[in-house]
Amino acid sequence: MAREKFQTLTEQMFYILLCLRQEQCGADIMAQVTALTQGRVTVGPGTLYNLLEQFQSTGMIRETKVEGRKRSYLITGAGQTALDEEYRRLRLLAADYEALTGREGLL
Amino acid sequence: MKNTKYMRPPYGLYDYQAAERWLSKQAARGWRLEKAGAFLWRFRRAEPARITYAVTYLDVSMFDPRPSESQESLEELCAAAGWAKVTDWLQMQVFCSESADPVPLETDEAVRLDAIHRSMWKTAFPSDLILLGAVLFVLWKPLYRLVCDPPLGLSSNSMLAFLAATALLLLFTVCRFAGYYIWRRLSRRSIAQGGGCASTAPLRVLDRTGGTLLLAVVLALLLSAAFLSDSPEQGIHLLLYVAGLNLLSLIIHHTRERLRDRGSAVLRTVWLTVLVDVALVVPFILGLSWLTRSDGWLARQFDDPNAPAWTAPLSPEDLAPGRAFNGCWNHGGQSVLLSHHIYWFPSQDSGNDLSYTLTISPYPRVVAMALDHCLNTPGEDDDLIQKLYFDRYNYGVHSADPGLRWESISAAGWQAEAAWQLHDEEDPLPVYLLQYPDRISRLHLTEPLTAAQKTLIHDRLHQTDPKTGGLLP
Repeated sequence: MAREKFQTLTEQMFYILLCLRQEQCGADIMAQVTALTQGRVTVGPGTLYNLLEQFQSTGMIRETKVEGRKRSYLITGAGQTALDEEYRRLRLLAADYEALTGREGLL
Repeated sequence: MKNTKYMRPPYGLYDYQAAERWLSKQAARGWRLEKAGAFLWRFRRAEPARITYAVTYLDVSMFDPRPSESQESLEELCAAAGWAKVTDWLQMQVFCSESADPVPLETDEAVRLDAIHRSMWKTAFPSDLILLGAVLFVLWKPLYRLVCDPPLGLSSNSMLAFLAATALLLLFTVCRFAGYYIWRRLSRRSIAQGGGCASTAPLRVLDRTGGTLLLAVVLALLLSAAFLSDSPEQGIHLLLYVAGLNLLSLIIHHTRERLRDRGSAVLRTVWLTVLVDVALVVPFILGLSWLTRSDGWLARQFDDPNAPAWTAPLSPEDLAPGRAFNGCWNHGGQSVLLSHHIYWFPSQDSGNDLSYTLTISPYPRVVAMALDHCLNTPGEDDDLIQKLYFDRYNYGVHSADPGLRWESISAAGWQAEAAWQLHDEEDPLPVYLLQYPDRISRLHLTEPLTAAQKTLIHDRLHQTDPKTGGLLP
């Protein structure tokens, strides 16, 4: 059920997994997502906590370190596959857009 | 001036919208949330301030030590985003921020909706179902009795109040389930279209008005049962029962919360809570049963020493002067709908010397219902009397002898509106069913009657006190 749920990723899921290509704790993820997207995407702590739990329970990330209350995570092979598939899907969307409108490089 | 006040949160577990708004409003008025209790939330006085409250949901058990690992992780994340933990209530975790524009606690509505749904199935719905199951478990016997013998089942105000309250509770629970699922469906649709969760206002209105109405009706029913009952101790028993259970649940809640606050392990908290539960509930139930049994302390408080001795409306001696009998066993009661009493005069060998039932009601429909029941179960009352006498709680469906049938007879001699006599195949039996405008009676005699005896029966059945089932002085 959970795997089916992550067949397509929301922006927040995408960026969380992207950030976890390097080992990071939750607070760092929030900060990095905001910095990476220049404030366009923010991940709230409640949402982040729930998503980290779900990613972990479906094997897309793993916990690497616990220092007091701080927990660090790293993406797994399954998580990387999900991230790659999402990237491919986005590329296809972009390619279809460009093919139909011929407006390559507009953005 | 009081620096602490307690308020009941005007929302349910799912209602994050109302919780966030209400808590911010209280802070603006100078009251900051300190601790969420089982029924009441504690606030302390502070300078009025613009504080943003936000809630999120964690998959924690009500027995987890506080703070649990998951709570600590969440608090760490929230602290990094400028949110401070205030308290928690079941799975709802309450945070606040004094920042003017804090990062929202939740930024994905689908994740929020899923978390709410998991929380509802973790605590709120199981509690509702357990409560409903407990009430139905307590009521299955009276309900069974009501189905098997409606006149007997309907002859107690306490039972009517219990049945009405259960029906209301069932209706309310079903409405809450349906309301929540409609809200969830609307929210999912809204989220799929890029919006947020649907407004919780309609569900909140249903919850609040339904809950208040249910409480008011249940209280009114219990109080009316206490005051209208032919035996007020039954009503007082109900009130003590409800009040006691609430008090016990409060004590058990506090025990569990104290253990959680002390960081007790889950298993230890579960066992100690169950132990406290059993240690309190068992003596409570036993004590209440002892207090309110028919010859118990409470019943004795309502005994009137000056009350005239109870006399059965009709005895074997009335029909045959000088005839000895072994006393009368009487069972029944009176409610706002009807009065139903069963009388049995056992013979020396525990057979039947005389037995009859008398059902009285000012409502023609109720009389008709009782008559229908009697006509449709021709052999039931004799069987029922035996079972009630030898085992008061052995109610059940009575095997109907297919050969038994009622046959209409002339009512003139009985001064009744209609009369029937029981037949076994073609053989008439000395069992009669008499219908009067406001009452019916089923008589099981041992020998044919004279005209004078029939007149006496009519008179006596009409000189019966509906409340006690005894002969009026």
